[in-house]
Amino acid sequence: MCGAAVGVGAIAEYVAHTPSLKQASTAGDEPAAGALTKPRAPAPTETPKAQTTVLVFVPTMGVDGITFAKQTAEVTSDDDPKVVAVNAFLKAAQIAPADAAAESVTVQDGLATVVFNPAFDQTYGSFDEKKMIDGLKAALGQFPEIERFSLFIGVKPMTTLGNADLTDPIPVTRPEAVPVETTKPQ
Amino acid sequence: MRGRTHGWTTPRLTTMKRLAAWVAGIAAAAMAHGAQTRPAHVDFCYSGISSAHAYRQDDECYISPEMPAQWGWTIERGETGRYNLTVGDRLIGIQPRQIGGETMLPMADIARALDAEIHWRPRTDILEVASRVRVIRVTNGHLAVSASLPVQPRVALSPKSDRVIVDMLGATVSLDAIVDVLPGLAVSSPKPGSVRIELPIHNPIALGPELGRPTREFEIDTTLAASPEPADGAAQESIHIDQETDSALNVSVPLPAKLAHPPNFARLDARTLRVWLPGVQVNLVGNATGSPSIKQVQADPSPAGTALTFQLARPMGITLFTENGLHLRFVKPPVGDGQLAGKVIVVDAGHGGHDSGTKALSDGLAEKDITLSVAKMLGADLADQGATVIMTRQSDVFIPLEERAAIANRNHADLFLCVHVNSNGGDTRTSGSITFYHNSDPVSSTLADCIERQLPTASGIPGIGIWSDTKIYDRGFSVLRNTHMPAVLMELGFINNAHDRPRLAREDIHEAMAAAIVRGVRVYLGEPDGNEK
Repeated sequence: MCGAAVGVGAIAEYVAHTPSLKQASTAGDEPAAGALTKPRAPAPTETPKAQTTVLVFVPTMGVDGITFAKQTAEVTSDDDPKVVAVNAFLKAAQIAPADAAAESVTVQDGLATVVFNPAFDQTYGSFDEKKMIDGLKAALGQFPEIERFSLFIGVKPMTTLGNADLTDPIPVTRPEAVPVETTKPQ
Repeated sequence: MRGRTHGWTTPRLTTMKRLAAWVAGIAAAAMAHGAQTRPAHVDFCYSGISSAHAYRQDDECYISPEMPAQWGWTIERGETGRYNLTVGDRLIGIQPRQIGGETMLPMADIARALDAEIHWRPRTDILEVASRVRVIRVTNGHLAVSASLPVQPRVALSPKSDRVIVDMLGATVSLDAIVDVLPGLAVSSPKPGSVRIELPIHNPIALGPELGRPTREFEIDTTLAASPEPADGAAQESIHIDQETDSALNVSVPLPAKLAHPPNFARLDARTLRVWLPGVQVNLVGNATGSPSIKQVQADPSPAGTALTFQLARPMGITLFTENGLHLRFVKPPVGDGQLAGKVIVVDAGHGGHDSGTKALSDGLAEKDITLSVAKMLGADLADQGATVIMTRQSDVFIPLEERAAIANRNHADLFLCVHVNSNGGDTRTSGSITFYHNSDPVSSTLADCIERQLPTASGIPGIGIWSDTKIYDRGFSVLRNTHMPAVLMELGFINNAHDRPRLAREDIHEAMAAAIVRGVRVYLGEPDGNEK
């Protein structure tokens, strides 16, 4: 009797301290506590494999147009890759003030809302403005779920970065369409 | 009693020792002052201002070894450290200098070796390099020209077809270059840095293929008589006026064949448009269109295609397409009586208030301050000349972009002129002004062209040209997109460029820019700009 009680207690202990698996939709399919189970495909609500790098397109603008150098940046497990991509672009491009940063990127129905901190509230000449716009288009275009984006400083929409009319969402540029320089510039 | 030695006035010297001491003192003072070095630009012959960098040290110019390649030369560094430049069939060796740790080539040495003429454009750090025309010879109707550096000649007939006119940009000539002259031969310099040769002819002639490639030597045979049959298979066509109204002139030209590539056009000056028709050869019957809006049109066929050059009565925009021939729509800017007086002009100083615009990395000089200074001077100049001027801001305040356009629209302005400054991050090499127009608007592009042509001479900042705002973003610029009248946005230079920045900071340059913009507006309204043929 005592042995059975200890056994039940041990099982109870095990159940209490064993991380419970999220259940599949079918009921009655629970594995017995402590029993070996076959690996299952993650349920739709489970977090997919984390993205570890993002593409960073660094712009160069001249009278003949814009080109980009392609780099990568690491994403840690806690980071949102979309925010990392935007901030890595800002850091590499060196156009916005050093303390300017994206705080969040939320996506709904293909539209990304990119919220920046107040340090990003700055305007530029046309060459810098084009580098910023095209750079953000490329940074966000690497995410298939984003088709266009809008810029905000907190809750205030940014409708220009200098001269351009950005009142409507900006379409992204997919990586294969970004004009990447193939030779080292002069 | 003062003597004079080599053009200098010197104190009277009684001993050689006192002379030597005086010379040494002069030299020491010069060395103590040191040689100031600053960025410079080179405007080379016909090809314009090179993008490679250069420096000015006193009156000397030193160019980057990258620059000669932009002129079509080859350059190699020899084992001894000298640079070997191959210029056509000539090879010269140039000893480099170290300027601020950079290996640079002295332009004076290059010019001396090639017999080119160089001089600094007044009040600028732009060195003009011109080819020296050394021989002009006419023998049995053959005009032969030889120059020290390649020139790009443009050849045309006079309106009465009684003279051949050869224009060479980026060239100079002296009288002793002319040999074996023909009576009536005229050699002139219509504007600085250009040479024109006019040769009388007594019979109609057919010009050969247009001389397109740069060359040091060329010949033109004026004995080729014009033939009723088109030369080289060029079709004889007539220009048709399809319709003319107060706002537009539509003309068409039949084409003998479909174009291999789309036609394009370029403005040679405020009133001269050249349309290029690739792959077809067309000669025009006569050279007038029958419209008072076009003074003359000339066709210059060549194996590569045909250049149609239109001399306009006043600046006009153009759109063109080919379908069953070439169709050109000349769009007449709405200039009313062509006078500045009475026009309502909105002048918009970019940025303001909490929106500083771009800032110089070196010292924080803010775009908003430059734009306000220039805009106020521009507004005052326009008002002095009779325009009704509305400023979107007259102090350091923030005005939203939508409101700036709304101000112009509410007041039914005739023109909208927007002043800005450019920036290219930490890239300090980019230099020059750009005047933007919206999308492909032919009237605003005409206004932009008229203004942009005036700016470089006034500011000393090179002109990059006119751009559609869609080159920056495909929806264009807010103020240009949302205004309902001809509108331009002028970026006067790059705030972080060592050449542009000091000029952008100077109030006297602001005044010169403002005056230049007013001149551009007047040319747009119909006044001659003095540079047109």
